[in-house]
Amino acid sequence: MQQLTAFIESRGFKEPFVVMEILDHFACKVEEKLENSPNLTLEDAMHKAHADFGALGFSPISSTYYAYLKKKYKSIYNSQRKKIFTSWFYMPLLAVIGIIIYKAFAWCEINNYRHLFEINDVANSCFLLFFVSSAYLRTYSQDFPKKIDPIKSTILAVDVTLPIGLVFITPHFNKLSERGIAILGTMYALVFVYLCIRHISLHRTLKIAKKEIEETSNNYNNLVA
Amino acid sequence: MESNQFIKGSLTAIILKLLEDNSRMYGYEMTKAVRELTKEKMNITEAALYPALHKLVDEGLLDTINEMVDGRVRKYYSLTKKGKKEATTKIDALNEAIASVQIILNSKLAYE
Repeated sequence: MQQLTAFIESRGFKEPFVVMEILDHFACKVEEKLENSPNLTLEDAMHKAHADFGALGFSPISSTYYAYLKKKYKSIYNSQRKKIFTSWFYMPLLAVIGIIIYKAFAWCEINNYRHLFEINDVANSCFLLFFVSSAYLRTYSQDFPKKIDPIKSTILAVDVTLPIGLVFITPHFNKLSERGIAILGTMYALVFVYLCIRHISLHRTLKIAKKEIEETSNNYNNLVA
Repeated sequence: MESNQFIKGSLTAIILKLLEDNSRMYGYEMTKAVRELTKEKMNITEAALYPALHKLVDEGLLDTINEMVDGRVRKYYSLTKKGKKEATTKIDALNEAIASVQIILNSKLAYE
């Protein structure tokens, strides 16, 4: 098994979960070659078995497996988000937090609490909170293979641009009217709640993915030990 | 083998049929079964099989379960409930297509 694993890795496939995906089929083919030609060396049997995989070798299995895993974790993320939306615990809690954000934003606007870059203090706090949370999620997923990282692209696309977009709107209104406070306050509350749901879902997805990858890595380490 | 082009188009139906007749199979077992059933006339390449299997799992038609066999992890595939329904549909569709092609190939076509 160690020699088979080393052979697969020598072809450029080093991630444990990809090696494990290829290994069993490759091993069965090698066994077949050795059964049909008992005089064959293991090295020759491995080369012949690898040739049976075609001109592209293990690449089609590897690339479609990566694509499958990426899609799988995206699907898990969507189902986790749906669970939160339909949760009797989370939705009321997030609704209360949303109302608190709205009230706090309105209070800061009315009392002119803008200590950093002329931006509402509540807006700044939300932005800082999500920056810290995004950084934590990035750190949590740093051991992930980049090809299946379920959050790499989404974090930048949504979690940073959305708050930045909102924050840039805010300073343009030096003194917000009552209506302006209501609209902007509601937007901040909704974005805050939405980003909370995203981050909880992302964390849960990462936890599931990490557990699966660790399990595969353990099987792989037992194999090569 | 010229029939390999034909296999590419009917691979999904072949996989679903194999799993319909056997409660669960692993990848190598499927390629071996096709070779033995067709007496070496048809061969499913790994480059075609695994992308098709991953796609079927992604669509919810197949389930997978891992087991340790001879010191390595073997992934077994089996049909889900949705897969069983889809198997019947796809196999029937392929049989109809084959019957239609046979009509054309077996009749003398006079086209004026």
